[in-house]
Amino acid sequence: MSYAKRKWNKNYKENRNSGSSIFTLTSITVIGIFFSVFYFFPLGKLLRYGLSASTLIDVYGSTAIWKIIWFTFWQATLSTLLSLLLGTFVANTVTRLRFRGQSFLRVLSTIPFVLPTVVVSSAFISVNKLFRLDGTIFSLEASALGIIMAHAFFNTAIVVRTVGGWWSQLKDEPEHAARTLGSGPVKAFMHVTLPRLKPALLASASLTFLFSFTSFGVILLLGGLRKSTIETEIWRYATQRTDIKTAAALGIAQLVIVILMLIINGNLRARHATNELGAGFRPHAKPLNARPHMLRITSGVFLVISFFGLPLLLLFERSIKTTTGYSFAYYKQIFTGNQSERFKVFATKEAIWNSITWALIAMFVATVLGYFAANLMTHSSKRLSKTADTLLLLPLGTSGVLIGFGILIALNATPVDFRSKWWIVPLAQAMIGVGFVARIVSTAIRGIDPQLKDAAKILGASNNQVWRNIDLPIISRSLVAGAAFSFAIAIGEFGATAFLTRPQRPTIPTTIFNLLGRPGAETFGMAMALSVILAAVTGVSIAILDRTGSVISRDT
Amino acid sequence: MTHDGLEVRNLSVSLADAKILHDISFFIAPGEIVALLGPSGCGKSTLLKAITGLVSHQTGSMIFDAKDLTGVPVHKRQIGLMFQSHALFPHRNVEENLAFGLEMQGATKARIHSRIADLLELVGLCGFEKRKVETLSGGEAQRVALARSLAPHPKLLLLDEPYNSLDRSMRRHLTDEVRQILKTLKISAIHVTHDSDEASRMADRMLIMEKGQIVRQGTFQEMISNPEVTIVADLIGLETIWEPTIENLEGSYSAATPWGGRVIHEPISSTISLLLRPEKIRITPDGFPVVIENRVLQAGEWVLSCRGEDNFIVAVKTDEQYEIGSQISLMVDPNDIEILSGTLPY
Repeated sequence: MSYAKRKWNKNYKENRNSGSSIFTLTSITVIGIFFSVFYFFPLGKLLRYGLSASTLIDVYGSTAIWKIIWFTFWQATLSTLLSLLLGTFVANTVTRLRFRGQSFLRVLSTIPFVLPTVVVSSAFISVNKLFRLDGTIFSLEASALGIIMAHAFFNTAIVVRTVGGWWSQLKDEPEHAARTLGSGPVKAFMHVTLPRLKPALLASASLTFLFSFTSFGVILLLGGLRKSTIETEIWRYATQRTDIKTAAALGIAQLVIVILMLIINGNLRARHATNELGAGFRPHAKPLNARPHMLRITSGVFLVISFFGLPLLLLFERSIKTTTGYSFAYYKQIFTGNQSERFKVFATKEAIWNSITWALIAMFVATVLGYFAANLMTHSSKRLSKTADTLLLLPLGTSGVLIGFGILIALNATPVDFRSKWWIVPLAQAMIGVGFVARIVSTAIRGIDPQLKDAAKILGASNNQVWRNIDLPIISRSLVAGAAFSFAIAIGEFGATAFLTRPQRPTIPTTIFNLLGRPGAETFGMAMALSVILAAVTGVSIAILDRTGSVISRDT
Repeated sequence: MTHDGLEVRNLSVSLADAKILHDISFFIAPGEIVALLGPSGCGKSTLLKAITGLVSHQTGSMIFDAKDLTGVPVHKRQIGLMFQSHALFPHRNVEENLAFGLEMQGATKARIHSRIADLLELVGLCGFEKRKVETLSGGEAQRVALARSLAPHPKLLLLDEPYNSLDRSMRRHLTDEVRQILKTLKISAIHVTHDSDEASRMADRMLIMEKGQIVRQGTFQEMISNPEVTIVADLIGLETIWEPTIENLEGSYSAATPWGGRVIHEPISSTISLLLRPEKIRITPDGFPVVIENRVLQAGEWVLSCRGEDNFIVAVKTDEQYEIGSQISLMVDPNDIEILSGTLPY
């Protein structure tokens, strides 16, 4: 019976995509051109620079480079483990138990996901300053501890979303079965719950590892000069020592490792995908009663508030703490600007304007392209959809630094002399966002229940009417969510932007970075204030665009 | 596996401030199989969860094997539970599912191995050791679930509507088989169902639940011959039940029927219903006129569904064949109509 049903679904899917061939052709052309110019050509150029025997021997013959690679690995591993631990615990608290204030906690624990890296780094720097941790073993600056904590701060949100979403849909029966078969609560968790969570744990672990491995802003700001990873070294060699060859050789290593991890991730996920959430699943209707779990709830609430709330609160505190007491002086300085000659170099107003307009352009481009890409990814031709799927996965794994660096060294000659144009920045930001939009939209398209369409047809709707009344409302909601997400990515983007923007055309993240590079209470205060503004702009845009809450609480 | 049985005394359970079970008391003898019957939402599953300890009870006590279960955690109760959805562990194959309970007891590899072989033979699934759970058919999955719950030698097995997802013939087949297995192993069991046919096949005795209370206990025969309570008659499939209008006479009552009043001498404390069994009805030319609205062949006899004056609907049994839409008339002695306490659930 199950076989027959699956077959029917498959047949159904095959005649499902009603998109015309003209539309498909347009999609292929647009996506093809965009990816060729802004992804494959730049990365190809990067390979050509880096792939010479003498360069590779030079670069990989040095022990300093291996130290950096080793550090990149172990910090990513520890960051992943810490995120998994915290995320699983928080997911349990915010999805499995029921108590007042729970949804607030859920939002608080997932907000970091959309926060720009510079904001989070600034928040950790303010924790460091307030508690005077500098110089102690708990120092969060110029230390591995700060980097790992900041990564956990971001990526716990991924774990909470993925694991929590999965967990809330698992039925209790297998745990109950384990209990009646003689296992205590701890054993039941280890032997039954944990294995059932495995697909979600693996998915979030691989994503966390990838993000920590290719992290840029956090390492640059919290690692200082002492701690660097492959990613920040690429940037240093390329921009500060202008040693393009070494940077490219490092870029190749980065690319190879990321592709390897994506392959491993794909295999793991394919092997562990269980059918548990398949047909007949219903959301877990009854979270546990809170009363017997007071200890778990209290510790969960404490953890979420102190780990996720406190750094953001302290960031705000530092932004209004001036040498003469609390005031909004730094904010005033940002908007009116330039009372003192010293701050003229920091064109903060322009930075805000640039960031917002460029993020809007990037959002528009990423959303349109993402929609085209999603259509290709869900196309009835298996070959086409598979190719599109793999293609769109690449920019997700490729870091902003590599994309920015590639564009910088590739698009410098006619007919593609683009690198000094201002619009190259939003296009690079769109390149990074398009994969996310495509994934959100294609998931929505695939998720449309064919029975809904059948029902509409039986009720007398034509193909066009079905598309307008069933497909479109569902797709448009995800398009809006994708747009919100790509805006948040673009406005906080630091890796590619750091390569491509000119000093006279700053963005908020690059200005924060520059401000933090200067000593002095005032530049520091302004950096904190600008971080708060960036966080606010991101938060507000997400809140306006993402009415459905699918960016914050989407279950990947 | 002999033990002293399960005695539940005045058990009450509240979940999130709603009282689900009120004052439940019953006894299950060693080796006895009891069916727990009731409409959906009456608290059957909650009762099972309370017995296993998956929900905690507020008042009352449960004595099992001469020990009080209050405060004993789920995994120490030695009570097995078989789920409606079979709840096999999706990340373990058949063998690993069966091994789970034994691993928890710390059994040796060799012992687990031989026990699994025995269990698979018992449920007729030899050679299924390495099969993945998702490749099992509905009947096979239920058999594995049964074997898994039997593996750690429970003294009492609770079955929560285990055959709901199976078709009728598979249900009957498995019911007979499971009864045989439990009787051979002398394991007591509580079998939750809402199907009286399944209950009578499976169990020695029945408990009837309604709105969180046990309203009747006894054998199937006792309930058929004297259901006493409306919900009991309804659950075991007796027809025709209706709520009559009642007239208060001097010293007694009269319940209205199409064949005159059914006189009730006992004082009526609460609402009542009337039961008119089809075999008490004669088809005669000069009775209460009705129109045949539908008919169904049951065990070689026609059961006619008829409607008369005042929308009175009644089931009639006959050997003869009548056409739908034709008119007949029915005669009944009002004294053959039985009086039940309580009302219908719908």
